[in-house]
Amino acid sequence: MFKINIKNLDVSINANKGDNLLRVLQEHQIPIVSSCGGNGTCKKCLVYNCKLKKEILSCQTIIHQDLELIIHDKSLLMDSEGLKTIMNIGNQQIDNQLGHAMIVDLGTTSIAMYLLDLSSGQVIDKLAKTNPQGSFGADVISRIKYTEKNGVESLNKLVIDLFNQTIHHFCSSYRLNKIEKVFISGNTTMQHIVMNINPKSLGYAPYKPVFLETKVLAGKDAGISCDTVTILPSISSFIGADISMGIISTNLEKLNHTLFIDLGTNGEIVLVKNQKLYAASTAIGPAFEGANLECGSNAISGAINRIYINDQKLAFKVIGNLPRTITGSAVIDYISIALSQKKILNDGQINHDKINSKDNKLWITDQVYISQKDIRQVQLAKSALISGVDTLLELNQLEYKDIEKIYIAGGFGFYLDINNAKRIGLLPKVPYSKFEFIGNSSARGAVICALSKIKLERANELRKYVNVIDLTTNKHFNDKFIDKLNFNT
Amino acid sequence: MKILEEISNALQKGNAKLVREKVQEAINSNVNPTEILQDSMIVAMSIVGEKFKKNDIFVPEVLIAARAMNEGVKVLRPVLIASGVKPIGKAMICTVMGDLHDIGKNLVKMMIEGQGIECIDIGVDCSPETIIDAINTHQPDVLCLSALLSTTMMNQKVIISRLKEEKLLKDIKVIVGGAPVTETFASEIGADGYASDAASAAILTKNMILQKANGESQC
Repeated sequence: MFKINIKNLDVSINANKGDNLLRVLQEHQIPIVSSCGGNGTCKKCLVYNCKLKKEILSCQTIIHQDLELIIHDKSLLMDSEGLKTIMNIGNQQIDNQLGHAMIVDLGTTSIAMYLLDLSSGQVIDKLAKTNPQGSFGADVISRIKYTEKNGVESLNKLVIDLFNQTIHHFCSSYRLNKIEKVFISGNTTMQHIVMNINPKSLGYAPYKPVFLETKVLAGKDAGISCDTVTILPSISSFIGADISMGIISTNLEKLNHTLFIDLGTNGEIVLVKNQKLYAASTAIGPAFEGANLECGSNAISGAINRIYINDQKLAFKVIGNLPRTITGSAVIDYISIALSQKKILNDGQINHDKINSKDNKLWITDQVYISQKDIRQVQLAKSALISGVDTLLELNQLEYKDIEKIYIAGGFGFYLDINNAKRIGLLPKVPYSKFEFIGNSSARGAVICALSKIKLERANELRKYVNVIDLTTNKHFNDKFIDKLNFNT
Repeated sequence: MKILEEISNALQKGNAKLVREKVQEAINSNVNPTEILQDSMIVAMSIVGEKFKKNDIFVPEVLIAARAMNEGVKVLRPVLIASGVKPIGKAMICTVMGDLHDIGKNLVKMMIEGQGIECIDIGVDCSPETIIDAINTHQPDVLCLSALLSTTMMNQKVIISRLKEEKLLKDIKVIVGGAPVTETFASEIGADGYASDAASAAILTKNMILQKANGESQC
């Protein structure tokens, strides 16, 4: 038996000889980042070994002696702020019911939970948490792989426990006897995990889901302390309930020539034309969440989250005080500015004639930089999304000028500068006025479905009406993807 | 030779039209076709591969260069055949079963061809049976298995085990690659080689073919 002492967290844990350090930390609820699920490729689970006086990858460390560690903030999953927001659902018809519901937006990275008064239709409170499954891989594929070996139960339990804690928190804060209903909206993999159904088949072609439809079960059967749990309906393996809810929330079916884009690790795109819906999912990767950028992070304390030109000089905004990391949206700002200044060329290469850096890095502060490799990651990410958008438009004989509106959903969108996103080619070049940020449309749609049976029934029928376009095997998309990697096209 | 340098420069810039013209010019002035291929075009593609590895250029530039290479080879091929020059070896490539992502695979294929190696592409989502059939038909020297997902990479292992059972690994070297694959994983599953990017895959393929040829000539 060896002792692992984590000095800065004031935690001491025991481990056996031969244990994997990452697994030991995870088992003891140390919220360590591991985007690749322990493959040794993402380099995010670095911890400082005090005896060796150097950083080691915890996933690649086998324990054979006592360890003294320091785990820096950059390697820890941080809770987002528990912001209180009131969601306005407008003039929706609501059913006559009593009691309270908890609405869950079950994201792969973060989870937002809302307390809803079912009689008034008002959202009373909100709590946001990092998805505790994050230690088992950043993306759904890593999670699927984890469940293959270890079963789905442990991942299921992590979120169910969190739901129960939050229900308890809401009940005691608002002196409620109970929360009657829980509604859960997530991508198709998350919906499988929360149903305790192994999502394995979603990880291999032909990527078949076990279920897509609405599931209503008794709280005790789901392990959640409430009367009934509603698992909201998905559309396909890669177009989940979060997107069904986005369609309901924007009333997309009633619009025309309108795009709905959810920007996350996957970019889901829905186009409506002449009352028909077309949807596609494209693998953006975690670049815009900062995960595979060398100094990247999501919007945590110490992250630069906005870069702009002030008095002809580069200026930035930082969350908290000392800048240590950079968010995806700030990287987009920077690349856009650097393209105009020709510090980065249209093919993505750093222009050595314009910068003084000897190490081939674009330094923003003395700690934070953007590397050539980071720029390549952004090129891949932005090309994936815009190629998806262009493919959907072309298949429907539409051009940018025909677009009436573009809804941008997802938390990342809030920090995004539309003009910079257009400049780097992430978003289509249509006038600024046509874009609308709608924030968490997954939760908003779930609120609507909680308040209206008719809307919930409609959501459950969507998969029959939405034409899902598979981009992976689409020749058109693959050609575009290559063409759009550069910044000039 | 100036003309060889001109072909190389045009190829690195991806100027297919100029590559065609310059290759024709070299042929007309009786430059040895093997020299055109080896000392100019393959050298150029190796430089392109090296720059790609260092992130100095990116996928589009590599693809444009590879297309220019293919255009040049079209002009050169009849002359090569007439003078009895054969490709140095044969590679076969696919994505493994469960995986439909082929952009990376296509890039590796082009880079391998850029090394003067014939490369047979048997497509995506390939089962061990499909691969075994194709090996029996084409008799490649090297098999390249691509997987983009951390789920499907396990099928690289499944395929290698099946090839072992079929006793096909004696004559064939297997290289694995793809975003989630690591060198450690490659050696764990019994692959002969691992490549972290398309350029390395091409060079590794070439080295394995050369090794095999040397081994045979020693026998």
